[in-house]
Amino acid sequence: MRSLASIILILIMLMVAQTANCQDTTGVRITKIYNASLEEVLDRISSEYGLRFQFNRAQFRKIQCTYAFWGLPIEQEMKKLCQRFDLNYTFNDGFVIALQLKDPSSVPVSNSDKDEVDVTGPVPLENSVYKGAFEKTNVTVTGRVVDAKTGESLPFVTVGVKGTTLATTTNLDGFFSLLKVPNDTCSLQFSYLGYQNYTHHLSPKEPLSDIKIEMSSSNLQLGTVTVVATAKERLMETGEKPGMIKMTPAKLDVLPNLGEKDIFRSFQLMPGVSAANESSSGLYVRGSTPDQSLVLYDGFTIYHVDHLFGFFSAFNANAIKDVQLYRGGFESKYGGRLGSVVDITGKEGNTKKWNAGGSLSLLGMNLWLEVPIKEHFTSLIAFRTSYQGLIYNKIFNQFNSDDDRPSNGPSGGGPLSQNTTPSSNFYDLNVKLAYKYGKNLKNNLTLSLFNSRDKLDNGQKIELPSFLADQDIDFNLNINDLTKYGNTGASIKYSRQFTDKIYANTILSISNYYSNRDRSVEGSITDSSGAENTFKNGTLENNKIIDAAFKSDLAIGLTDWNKIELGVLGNYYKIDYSYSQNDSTTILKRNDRQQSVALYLQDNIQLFDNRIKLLPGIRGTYYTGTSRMYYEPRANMEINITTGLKFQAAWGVYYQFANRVVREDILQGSRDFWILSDDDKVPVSKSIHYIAGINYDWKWFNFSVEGYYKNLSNLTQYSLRIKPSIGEANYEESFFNGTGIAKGVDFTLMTKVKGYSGWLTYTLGKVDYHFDAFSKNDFPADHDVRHEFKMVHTYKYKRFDCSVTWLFSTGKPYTSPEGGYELTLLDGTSVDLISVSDKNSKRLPNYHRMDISANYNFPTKTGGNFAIGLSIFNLYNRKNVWYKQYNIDSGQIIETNVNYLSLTPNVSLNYRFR
Amino acid sequence: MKNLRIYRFTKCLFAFILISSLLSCEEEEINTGYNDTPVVEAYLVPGTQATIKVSLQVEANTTETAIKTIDTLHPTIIHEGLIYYLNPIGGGVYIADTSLTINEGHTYRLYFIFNGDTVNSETTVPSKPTEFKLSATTMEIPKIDLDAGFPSELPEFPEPIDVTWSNPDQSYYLILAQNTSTNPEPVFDNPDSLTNPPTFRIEPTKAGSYELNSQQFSYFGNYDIILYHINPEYAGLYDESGNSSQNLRQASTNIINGQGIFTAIHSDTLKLRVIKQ
Repeated sequence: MRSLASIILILIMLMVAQTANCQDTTGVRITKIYNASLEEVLDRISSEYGLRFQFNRAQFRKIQCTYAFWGLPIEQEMKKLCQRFDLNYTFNDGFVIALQLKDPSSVPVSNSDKDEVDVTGPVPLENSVYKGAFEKTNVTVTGRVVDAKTGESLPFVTVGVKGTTLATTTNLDGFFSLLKVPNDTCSLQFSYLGYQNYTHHLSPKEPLSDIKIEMSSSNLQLGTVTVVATAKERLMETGEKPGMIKMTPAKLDVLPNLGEKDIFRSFQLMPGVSAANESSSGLYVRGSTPDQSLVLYDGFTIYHVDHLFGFFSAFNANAIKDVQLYRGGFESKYGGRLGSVVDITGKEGNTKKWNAGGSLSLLGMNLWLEVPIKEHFTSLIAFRTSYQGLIYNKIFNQFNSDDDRPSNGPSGGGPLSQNTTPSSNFYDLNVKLAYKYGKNLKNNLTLSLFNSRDKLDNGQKIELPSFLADQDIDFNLNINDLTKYGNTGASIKYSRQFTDKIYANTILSISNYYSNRDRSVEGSITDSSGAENTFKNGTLENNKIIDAAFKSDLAIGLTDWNKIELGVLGNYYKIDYSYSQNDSTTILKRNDRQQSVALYLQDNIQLFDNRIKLLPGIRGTYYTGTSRMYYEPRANMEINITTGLKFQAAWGVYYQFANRVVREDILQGSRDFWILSDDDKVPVSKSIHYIAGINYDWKWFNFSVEGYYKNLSNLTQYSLRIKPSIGEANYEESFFNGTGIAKGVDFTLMTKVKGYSGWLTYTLGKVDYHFDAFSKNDFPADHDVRHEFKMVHTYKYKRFDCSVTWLFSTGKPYTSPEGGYELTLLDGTSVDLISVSDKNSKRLPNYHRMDISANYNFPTKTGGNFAIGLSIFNLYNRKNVWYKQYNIDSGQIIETNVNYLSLTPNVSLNYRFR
Repeated sequence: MKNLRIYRFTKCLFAFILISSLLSCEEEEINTGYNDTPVVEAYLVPGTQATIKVSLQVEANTTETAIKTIDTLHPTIIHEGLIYYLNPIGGGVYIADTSLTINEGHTYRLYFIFNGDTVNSETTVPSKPTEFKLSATTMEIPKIDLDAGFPSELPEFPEPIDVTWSNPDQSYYLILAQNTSTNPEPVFDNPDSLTNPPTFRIEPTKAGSYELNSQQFSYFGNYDIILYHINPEYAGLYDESGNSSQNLRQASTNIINGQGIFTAIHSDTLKLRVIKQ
């Protein structure tokens, strides 16, 4: 009788599962012999066949299971298995097979382990459908979306009502509110990049408010039951808003990398983001430069994103939950930059269980740990550091040579040539604490810390040669060539979902960036009489930014078609820059202290059954540096023409108050500094964006084309023309002002079919500058690229993740020498001088590069993963020209190409406990 | 089945684009024409005859390195409304007759035609340095012989010599230390340790003083310390032009439709003896 009941139970379970199209087990046939603990056997069946089990891990871990499945229908196999191990069956909502020992005391476990009940396998892609008629119309549905595995809230999830155009997105804390849903039996579709789509069927028998939606990462779907056609398994997504790109940090492992998966490097594979910039992980987005991109990490501004000469960005992908890039036309809630916005949301950590992982590569190591401190109180810590391995040294040497060291020290080869090689490294640290409390966890308090540092040391220590060591002399000489830079940022955020229609968050943050450079020779000589003579000669350069900010945002849903957002942002900037000689004489010095207060208001309007979406807004900023108010009107528009086809457009005015100045001897590492606008030598820069495009979503393809036009004015460039000497350089005269126009069109074709995902992008672009100081005519900007083509292919085959990327870019413009001549100076010596072509009138050879990677995954019995990966950068060893070096030798101009990185392989190991 | 066909078609399309992209990689370099421009070198010094030298610049990317001078021009200098013709004397050098005097505060304009373009420039003779002083007329420096081993005691180095002059308007000055001794004796026996030649210059300064320290002198002997009052166009020759395509800039020049320099200087000289301690 019990057996019969079990069979009926399983059959019912299977029928329901089939109805729900979630766990279609009818075709599953297992032909395999397992010899492991029962816990591991069930985990493996889950992962290989997509079945879900619920059981006590501590108990099942102690049961040895040597068992053969013979390819029978799964219900028969399960029946035999349960008989064999004396188990009971039940099943829960969500079609989970719950297994329990008939006699739990037969396998004793400690009290703390008695409750260790876990669910294996994939989360269902929908709940059960309510078969009855609806009871209410025009209902309001509210809830929160979380990651099924970690319990973390998911921001910016698209929530739509099936069969209608009604849709919204979750806010930063994962909350959503849908007003005027037609009735209480509608189906809600949840979609989020990198996650399986989830369908929630409303039911009059279940609450419509505060519903909790669990979405499962597409990474978990290893079995044959994965429903690929509905999964947003892509790495990248466009078209949600004009100019916007989304990316999945969790899936970057599949792309080729140079030692570390990198968000900013991955963005360079996206449309509209220039790719041929190996020496900068900063983003050149649609004609704008990296300093024109606002980079926000948990609400605070990051001023410098480069690690190791720009080969890596300062962001650890393991600590990041969501990234959005606005390539232009961004809405009023963002401000202070001319070009683009990168909005990064850090992970909060696993809310259910502790988890940990790490990776090791030829560049460095990366460790992370997530610990739920108590209920709804989570923590995350991620640490990354480099070591001087093969890749580090290769990149370091690419940017340094002995010639770059300060030349005012003794030359090598003389009697004092013994030297030691100093160390260089970088690290970054992310810490996040999050606490949710109150009814339905509608209050959220988070603390986020970010710290990164680069130490690039190309110095030498000269020691006394042995033949002089026996003399009674103490001699020390250091040739310093040391650059240290880093960011420290922290934010405290309080957010609250006050009602279904009102959400607010307030952020208090501070961001500190410093860059110190020491190029000097220092030493001491102590003779036999004990007299010490110390000396130091060289230059010291220091730049420090403190940006303290208060920000508060409020979103109010006025009606089902109208939601307004408003906010205030106050900044206090403290920027110091000094350039001194011999630690005592200041050559250049600047101390800027300014404040700004910005207010914005924007209105999300949805008309004609959401076929037309409008987002007009205005931002007003008062800046004390000029004692003026700056108004920035903006507007976004979206028209859904047919299913999947939409037209998008954006227009806006943008101002920028903080400017990064790049010193031109860029061979020497980090040589940029930030200053504030003063409306005199450095005016407040301005841009106007015009964007329009169409986006078409088909079953397997997504195609988008978007044109842009940016009008730039009050641009500032810096040129230190006169070699600085004591008390000489006129700092202010080195700024030049100009205008610019950036225009172009991005084409993107994405596809996703079973196992395969990829995209092709082509950008036709042009960036022209006009600076009277440099040329009478317009000239191409240094970062102007006419044609750029990129392709990314990723393919998943069983446990292999393979990918290949290829990119092609027109050569960048440069100014070349046209001729050389010699003049005799007053002291009788001669000087070689160069006359040059028109500004940027020549082009470097085209840039192209192919990278490949392959990862092999070993799922672990704890639900985690171990992966070993091989990645090859610049597969066919293309000698891409970085810049050209010129020397005049015997009256002849010698031109030498300095190339980017050659073929570089990397091996990495990745481990995730759960 | 239809989906399968589309899938295969997609794969083929991607493969085609990949291969065709790889094959289409041609190096592109847009070359602009080389403009043959004259290079002028002229220093107008009060009390001397005006001379200029004209040559052609050496074209980049050629193996031709010899400097070509031009002797077929008809350069003129205009001073106070009068035109003075300069006569070629060979080697690209042209000289004005003695009727053209170079006077402090006066402006001189250079004109000539080259390849149909008017090459021109102008300069004003700066004032003679005033209140030019040295804090000492003799400097005693110890003789150092590193080849004999490191000295067991550090030598006593003398105090630097203050060079001062009047510069209320912060104009440009340049100091030249010129060793006038025949076969001057080096301070260091080890030639690798010599930091400066017998004659050396200090880069242009807008200050009114400079410290000449003993380490700058690598040779004993008699020195002329010459203070030049110079114009900004000469100081511009010390600008950095850069040495890579990332920072290359046009060398400073005050010649319109040409390169080089046409400038006037005014100087004063004081004596300094550098002797063994």
